[in-house]
This record gives sequence, C-alpha cells and structure tokens, in this order.
Amino acid sequence: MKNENTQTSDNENVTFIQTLVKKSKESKVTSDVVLEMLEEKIK
Amino acid sequence: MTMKLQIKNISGILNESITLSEGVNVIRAPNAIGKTSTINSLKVVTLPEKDLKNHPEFLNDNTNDGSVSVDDENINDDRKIRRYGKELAVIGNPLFDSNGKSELLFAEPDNEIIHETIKGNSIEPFIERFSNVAIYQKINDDGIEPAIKRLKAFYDEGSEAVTKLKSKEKEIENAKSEREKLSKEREKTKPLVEKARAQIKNSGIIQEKNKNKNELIGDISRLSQGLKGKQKQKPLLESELKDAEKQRDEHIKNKSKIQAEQESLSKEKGKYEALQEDLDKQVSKLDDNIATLEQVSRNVDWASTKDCPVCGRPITSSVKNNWHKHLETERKQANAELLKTENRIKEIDNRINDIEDELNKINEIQENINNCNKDLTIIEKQIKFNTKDIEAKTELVNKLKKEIEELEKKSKIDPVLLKAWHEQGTLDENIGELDGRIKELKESYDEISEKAKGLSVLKRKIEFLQKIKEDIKRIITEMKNGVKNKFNSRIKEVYPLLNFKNFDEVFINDSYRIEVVRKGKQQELNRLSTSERVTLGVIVMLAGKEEYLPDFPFFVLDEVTTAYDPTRFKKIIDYISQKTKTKYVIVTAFSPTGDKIKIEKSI
Repeated sequence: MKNENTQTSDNENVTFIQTLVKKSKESKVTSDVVLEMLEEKIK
Repeated sequence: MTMKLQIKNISGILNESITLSEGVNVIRAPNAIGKTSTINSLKVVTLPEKDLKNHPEFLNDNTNDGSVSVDDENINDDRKIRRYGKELAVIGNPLFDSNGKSELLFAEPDNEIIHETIKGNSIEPFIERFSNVAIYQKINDDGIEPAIKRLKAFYDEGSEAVTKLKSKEKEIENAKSEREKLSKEREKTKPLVEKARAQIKNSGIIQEKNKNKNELIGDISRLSQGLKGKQKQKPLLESELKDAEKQRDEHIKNKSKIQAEQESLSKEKGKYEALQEDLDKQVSKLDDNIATLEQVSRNVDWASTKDCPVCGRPITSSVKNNWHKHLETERKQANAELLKTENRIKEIDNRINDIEDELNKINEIQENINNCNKDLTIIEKQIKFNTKDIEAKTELVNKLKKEIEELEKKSKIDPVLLKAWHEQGTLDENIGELDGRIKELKESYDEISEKAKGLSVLKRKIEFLQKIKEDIKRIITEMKNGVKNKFNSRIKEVYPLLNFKNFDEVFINDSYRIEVVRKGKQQELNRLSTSERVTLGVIVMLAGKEEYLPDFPFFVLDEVTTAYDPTRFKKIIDYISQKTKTKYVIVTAFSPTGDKIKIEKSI
C-alpha cells in the first residue's frame, strides 16, 4: 500500500514537472504560474 | 567522392571554389590566406542561426551579403548570410544537420571542450548545455524557488499568528479564571448587600447607575486594549511604508530609461510589422506566380508549343524550369526574411513584456504605499476616536460615581453594610473591566485565527514544491550523468583504437573533469602537459561525435595541430579517416610560403 502511494505521488510529481516544461516552452515559468498550478492541485 | 564548396564573401575569401575529397584534407597556406575563412564557410553551412548571428566577422568586411554553396552526392544547395546591424541574418536552414551538436565538429582552441581542458577546468557547463538541462534549471530558478520563498513568507506569517493565538487563548483563560474568582467573592457580599439595599432609599436608582457605570468601565477596558494594539501597529506600518518608499525610489531611478526603451521598441515593432506585411504580400505574390506557372505548364505541351500562351513570346521547357527555380528561390528567401522578421517581433514583444512587468512592479509598490498610507490614516483616526471615546466614558463614570455617592449620603445606613455595599461595587467594577477585556481578547482572537487558517494547506504546498525541487535536481543530475556516461563509454571504445601508449584509461570523472589513469595511478589534468590536454579534449570530442553524430560527413581540426606531437596527431587523423564513418577530415596546417590555399592528402 505504501509503495502504491509513493508511486502515485511520484506520478503526480512527474505530471506536474511535465506541465511546467510544456508551459516553459510557451512563456516564462514564474512563481505566479507555479502558485496558480498549485492552487488547482492542493486545496 | 568529393564535396565542392563555393565560397562568396566569407571572412577573407571573396570568391573561391574549394573541393574536398574523401579522407584527409590538409588545408595548407601561410597566415591570412584563407584557412580560417574556409573553416568559417563550413560553419556557415552547419551552425544554427543562434550560433551564427553573433559572428559578424564571418562576413567579409567590405560587403553585406555572403554565401556558401555545397555540392556533393547528397546536397546541392546554398546558405546565405547578411549583415543585420551588428549581427548576422541567416537565410535558410543549415545544409548539414548537426542536431544542435555542432560543438563536437570543430576542434579548435576556441572550442569549449578543448579550451576548458587546456585550462584544466571542469567541462560541467558544456555537459549541462549539452544535456538540455537549462529548461529545468530555469523552471527551478524562475518558478519553483521564488514560489517556495513566497509560500514560506505566508507560512511564517500564519505561524506567527498561531503563536499569538496560543498566547491569546492563555490570556482569555486567565481573564476568565480571574473573573470567576471575583464572582465568588461577590457572592459572599450578597447577604449584607441585600440588607443594605433594604435600608437605602432609592436603592433601585443607585443599582441602575452602578450597572451603567460598570458597563462603561467594561467598555473603557475593551477600548483601552484595542488602543494599545493600534498604538503598537502604528510604528510597524510606518516602517513598512518607509521600506516601500525606498524600494519605489530605487525602481523609479530606472523608470524613465525603461519607458524610453519601451517607446523605442514600440517604434521598432511598428517598422517590423510593416516589413512583415510587405513580406507577406511578396510571398503571396510569389505563391500566385508559381501557381500560375504550374497551371500554364499543365495546359501546355512544352515539346510542341514554343510560344507562351499568355504573352505569346517563344518559350522553352528549360526557360520554364529556370523561371520556376528562380521563383522558388525568391520565395524561399522571402520566407526566410519573413521568419526572421517574425522572430524579431517576438523578441521585441518579450522585452516589452519584461518592461511592462518592471513598470507593473513599480505600480504594485506604489499601490502598497497607498494601502499603507490608507491603513495609517485609518489607524490614526481610530486612535484619536478611541482616545476621545475613552475620555468621554471616563468622565461619565466619574459623574455616575459622584451621583451614587450623593444618593448614598442621603440614605442613613449601617457602616458595616455600607462597606459591604462598596466592596460589591468595586468587585462589580472589576468584573465589568474583565468582561470588556475578555470581549476585546475574543475579537482579537477571531482576527488572528483568520490568518492562521489555511496553514496546513500552505505546509502541504511547500512540501510538494520541495519534492518537485528535489525531483528537478535529480532529473538534472541524471541527465548530466547520462551524457557523461555516454561520453565515457564511447571514450572507452575510441581510445584503444588510437593506439596511444600514454594512458591506461581516459574518462570524465564525477566532477566533470577529464581524468586519466597512467601506470595504474589516477591523474587529473593539472599533472599533464598542454599537448596531452589538447589530445584529451579532441578525444572527448571524437567520442561525442561517434555517440551523437556518427554519420556526420566531416570533422575539423583547426589550429590545434601546433600543440600536438606529430605522431599522436597522425594517429588521430588516421583513426577518423579509417575507423569512423566521417567522410572528410579537414585539417588546417601552416605553410611558410605560397599565396594560395593548397589541399593536400597528408600532413
């Protein structure tokens, strides 16, 4: 169970980083962009 | 197999044709005859625009346009460069595709690997760039790190509020327990006060006045607490205001400069937009011409028809083909110009956005100053109002006390009972004061608890971003190590094939420095001669070429030959020409005589 959770969390991190990489190709990734993404993710 | 280069206006060469043949090509000439210009020509047809544009010296000083055409078994095309202010504009894509890894192709003193190896430095910056980790580094530096910093500031503010909250809870608890103690004491006075009340005339009126007085004392206590808080807040706000004003003044110093830049960029953008419009029209016109030509071609039997059906003039198939080729070239050039113009507009837009961010920052600071000023005015008004209110209420309390005293004097009462009556009055005053204090403490508690709310969410956000930061760091390290390992495994393959006897092993170590094993002992670069270091730099480049660009047709050794011992140098050239897929090994060599470039087959 612990492993599954770790796996899920790792996948979430990878998705988050991939989104950041994608966004960085369109425009500069600032702290505002990161916080906005985080707002949707952690409420 | 040969590769013919037609070089026009590149560095020192005005118009020259150079033919390279498969294998070793030693470009031999005295200085200033065109060795470096030939290598620059190869760069013109290989490097991406971003690496070429900062090399205006690649274009001959006396002209604004230059070109290199390549004719070999796979390519029959050219690439043009044009002077563009202090930079170069490049028309068309590279003729040889190095997939962004052209740094592995030109072994010369300026090459980063060779340059850093000679100096005995780490090649980590090269590995970083080569691993494409910059994008991750930028995300971390511009996005993640500042976001963590901001969240931590909010978290600290919230944590401070939680600490305050705890101390407020304690204060409320203490006030309540004190109140309970006083209430118990009051209970004791009750029987005597009951008797006193029976003896006092107008006791109802006195009781009412006492009640009003105690309520007023409670209000005064609450207001005094609030006043204290506001008096504490005032200097903090004043200091925040001072800091913000200082910050604004610093930013404002640059404001006019930035605004001037913004204005000039807007003008420049306007010019480029007009140019873009013209080029759009030009491309569209060329498209129309090509379409018309193709349509005419389809409708005309070129073998039998010798006159153009549109203009009636004699026309042949080869004329038509040349016309088509000419139109295609023009369209290609116009498209390249258009792309360049669009890129410049993008660059201007990005800079304008940065400037706007900067100007917005000034506005934000100004807004902060305005808010601070507003808050200060409000607090000052509240302090003034509360002070007046307290004064008025204190006056009223004193008046009520006097009235109660007068009424008591009029009643003849047992002194023991009167004492108990007064004691109860004092206790009631104290209880009233405590009630006011508790009310104020609760209000303050609610205010602080708002700030403390969401602290757990903030904590989770910080923890999440810290994990992301660690992951990005890990990705960067893995990417760099991946590149390093690829280089190392290729060095392991390439090095034995060179038949050198100097070192048992060559590798890039964990600090991204080139290291060797000699007679079983590990040695860093600073223990080696310059000649050996240059050799190692070239070996690393060759290993990289074998790993990333094995089919790329040429490899250049420019001006590094002087540092080699000739035997070792020959072994490297033999290795490239005999054991790799590199078709052309191009080496520059100095000749003390002659006025022309000579291409020879051996050194």
